[in-house]
Amino acid sequence: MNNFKIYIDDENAHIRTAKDKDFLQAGKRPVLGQLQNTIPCDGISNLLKNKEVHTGFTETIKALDIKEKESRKFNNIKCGYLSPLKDVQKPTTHKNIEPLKVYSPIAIDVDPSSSDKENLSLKEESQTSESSTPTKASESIPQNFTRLDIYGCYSYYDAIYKYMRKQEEQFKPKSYYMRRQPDISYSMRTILVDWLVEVGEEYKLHNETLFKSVAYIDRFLSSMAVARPKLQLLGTCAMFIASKFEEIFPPGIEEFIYITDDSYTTKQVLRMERLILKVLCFDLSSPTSYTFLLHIAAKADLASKVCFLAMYICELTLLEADPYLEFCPSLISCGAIALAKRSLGSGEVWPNKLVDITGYTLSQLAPVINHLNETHRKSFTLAQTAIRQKYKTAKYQHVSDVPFKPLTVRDSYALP
Amino acid sequence: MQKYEKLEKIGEGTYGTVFKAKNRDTLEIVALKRVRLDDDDEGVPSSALREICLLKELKHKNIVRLYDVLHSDKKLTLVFEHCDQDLKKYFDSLNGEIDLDIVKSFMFQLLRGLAFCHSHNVLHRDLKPQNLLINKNGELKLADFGLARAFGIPVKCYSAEVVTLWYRPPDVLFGAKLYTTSIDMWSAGCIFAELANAGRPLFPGSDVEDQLKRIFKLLGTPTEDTWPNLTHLPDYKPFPIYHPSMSFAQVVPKLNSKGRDLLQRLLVCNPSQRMGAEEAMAHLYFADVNTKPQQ
Repeated sequence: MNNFKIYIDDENAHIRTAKDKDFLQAGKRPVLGQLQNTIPCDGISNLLKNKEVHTGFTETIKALDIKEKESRKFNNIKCGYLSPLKDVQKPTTHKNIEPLKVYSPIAIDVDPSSSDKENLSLKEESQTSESSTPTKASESIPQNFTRLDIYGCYSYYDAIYKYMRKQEEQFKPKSYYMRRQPDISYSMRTILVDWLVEVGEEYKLHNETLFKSVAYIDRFLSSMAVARPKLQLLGTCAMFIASKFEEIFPPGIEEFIYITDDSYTTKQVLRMERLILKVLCFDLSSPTSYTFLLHIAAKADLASKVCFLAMYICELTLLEADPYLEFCPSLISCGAIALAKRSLGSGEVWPNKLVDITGYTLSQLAPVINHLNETHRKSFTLAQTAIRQKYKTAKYQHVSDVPFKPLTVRDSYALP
Repeated sequence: MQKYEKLEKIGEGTYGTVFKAKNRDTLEIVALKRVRLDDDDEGVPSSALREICLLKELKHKNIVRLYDVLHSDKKLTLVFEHCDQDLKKYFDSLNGEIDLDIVKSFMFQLLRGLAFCHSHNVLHRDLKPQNLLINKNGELKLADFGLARAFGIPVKCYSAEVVTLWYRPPDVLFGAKLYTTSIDMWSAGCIFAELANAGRPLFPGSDVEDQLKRIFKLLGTPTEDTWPNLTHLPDYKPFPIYHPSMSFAQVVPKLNSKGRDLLQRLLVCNPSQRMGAEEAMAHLYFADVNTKPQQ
């Protein structure tokens, strides 16, 4: 706790684009907490001590049972870096020690003794591979939202939508899990997600990969307690897995290690991968608000700027675990579409066509829209700027500059 | 590995080795697909990640069942339901003769499995006789989802390096990266013809160019009229204008006219004109199939 220092890194606080040559140097860094690589993670060791981990799909993993009653005092946790999440008595209102004022690229002190020779050799390797990295198939999604009817999966549209709605319920993270996390906070998660956005931009990963990574993190944290120094490992690994699932050419493991400034070893990443897959039971395909957004946009014939603004709002919600964990991804994306249409004055906010496609009425969207309003309003002054910079580009039609315009939903209609 | 007793090696999948094994408790015969994980490696291969995740969700009698996954630091083992043979081996045992009712039954089951995949957001992307398993009851099951993936709507750019050459559709051969369910429907058409000819492949091309030539010789060379934007495909190359010299009656002589009609609707060069699985199941050819499409 006492070792946790955040420095404001003024040098890196300037606006960065993916093309910025200095990025790799600046973007690879430990994001959170002091790193003590040499200490084994007891939590994992216990969980993985059986040589074979059976992921029987109906079996529940016993170690993960959350005993609601069994409260543990903060200092009782002897830092197995990861352990099954227990109910921790912690004040419900978070006194965030880390001020939200910090500028986005923050540097955190690293124990110099933790970089041993092994790490150095790893570094050399990854630097040679650096030059070959950024030539990835670039994001192709947004150009054409109505392509599906040309290619014939239109007939499955409704079946797939229905199926995704079922999936999102099934794989929903637990809201307010952070209250039970003994060592990490909302603001740390926010910093982590902001960093993942930058990593995604740097490696030109699909947006879906980013959204999936965050979903994996939240599902993992819903049942496992993670110590601060391991939160970045979790984030890195979640993105490593999401990339393998989503991307045609996922970045290699050494690239993921490199971007953490070699804070972790290959072995640690592979162990974490195994643990995440175990906790998530290999269920990696669950839809995100981004999945729904594209799905709905494809049929609803939304203007591309509306889509981008909705996409931007959805991405902003990733920074906040709660209140958004309470809402299903489909609901968030619908709320974002309504808000985007309102902000851009793009016709009726929630026409019957969208009700038919999504199954949601405007009054059902009201609660989430209220939160999205607030998120969009705050976005202009937010300390974490990666998402805002990303959507400032021409690729996204500069939608992060679209002025905030609140949408008030009363009863079942929207006031103009 | 205590729970399963290895009996014999069955073969090699897209990744990893496949064994026949016995569950020591239930004595049930299963197939184990084993993937070695090395310390200096990339962890669980993406093909395994996708196969596990997608197959877990796809519970259907025409899709091979994944029972369990054993994950240790040295290896990853997928436990599958065991089937006696694959369609390729079945063909080899036929000596060039096949019962036309079996052709119809297998084709229907293939389409039913595919329709289930497609309505659950999954493309198989590697359909071929080796990946269709058959058990003693004459049930056919789609297997080897190592190249499968979830497709979103709208479709994203996927790798064009998919589907074994002989079963690859012309759009993918021309480098198209935007494709959806139509990719599997072409392969299904090729397999249909192969079934009807008791295992003689329809388009056994030796390379991409030869493959396209064989296709166009049978179906005619597509043009911008029959297939808009054809010439804009990444690897498009002009081909001589072939006019179909052979009728479908010559290509699949044993198949009745309804069957030939279905085949012609699947083997359409322009992916947007290719028939979907659901639609194909409703084709007149299957009018006398008594199994109803299951949920």
